[in-house]
Amino acid sequence: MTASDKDTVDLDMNALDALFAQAKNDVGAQPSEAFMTRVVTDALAQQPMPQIAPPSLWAQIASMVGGWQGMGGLIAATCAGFWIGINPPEGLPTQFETFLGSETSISLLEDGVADTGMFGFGWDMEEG
Amino acid sequence: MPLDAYPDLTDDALLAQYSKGDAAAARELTARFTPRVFGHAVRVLGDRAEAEDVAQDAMMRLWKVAPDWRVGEAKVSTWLYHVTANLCTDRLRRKRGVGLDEVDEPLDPSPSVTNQLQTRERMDALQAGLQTLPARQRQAVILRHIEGLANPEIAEILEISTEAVESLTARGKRALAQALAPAREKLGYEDDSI
Repeated sequence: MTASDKDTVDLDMNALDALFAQAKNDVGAQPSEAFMTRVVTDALAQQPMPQIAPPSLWAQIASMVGGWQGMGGLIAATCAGFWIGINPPEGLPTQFETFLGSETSISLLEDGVADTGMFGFGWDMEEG
Repeated sequence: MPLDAYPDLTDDALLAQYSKGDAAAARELTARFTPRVFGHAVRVLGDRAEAEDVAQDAMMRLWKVAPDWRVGEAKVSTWLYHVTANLCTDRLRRKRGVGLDEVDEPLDPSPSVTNQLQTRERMDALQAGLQTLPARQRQAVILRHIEGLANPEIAEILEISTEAVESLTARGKRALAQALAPAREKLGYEDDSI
């Protein structure tokens, strides 16, 4: 290889490197917008569905009773029932009375006074 | 939504997001890899329509493999280049014997700007020169000198040794320089002192 031959080859290589550098930014090798849209469409069509975690037990219960509002009402009703059980209002029969049938009697008369005197039983016989 | 919603996420993490059903990740992966895959295919094949088919096919394979992707085993870009290179090789095998005359016509340049015309001519000449190289040499030269990949990565993509890559790129570059030598004046390099 002569010196002039080597010069020619070197120049070509440098020119080639310049060509490569230009090619890196060549818009002619860029995909079109329409093609990019097609690839995105493929990607979305092939994409697995988003993974949704199953609802927790509490969330399922809340859902059964009508959501968190229903749950709030249920808790309020439970608290009220519990309080009535502990401290029932006047005149409300207790649970034991309801089940055992026992009654509470209160005497309005003084001690020693025969109750029978107050009843009408046998009155017609005494009067004749 | 913009295509680059996750500019800082690694390729692997992005693929994991895609597999969880994140649409933004699908767009980001498309923006990140489609231009590279398409660019490689169009330079190897010299045909935009065929390059679109290959790039779409390669990206489709990525979407399908995403749920089973094993982090750390391979780089997403290397895997995609590998798939693209194989798809291109298959196409080139099917249409063996394509000469320079059959290479696509130059893309329409902007007629008002001389610089752009010259750039277009240079790119078309480079493309025509690349088409004269054997397929493997062409792929190695494109990956090394245009895509800018390192030899070990090219070796992985083409499934050859690093030494074979060095040999392919060196021979390819010399052959390309010879193929383009007659067009030096037309390309505007005759008097360049680069």
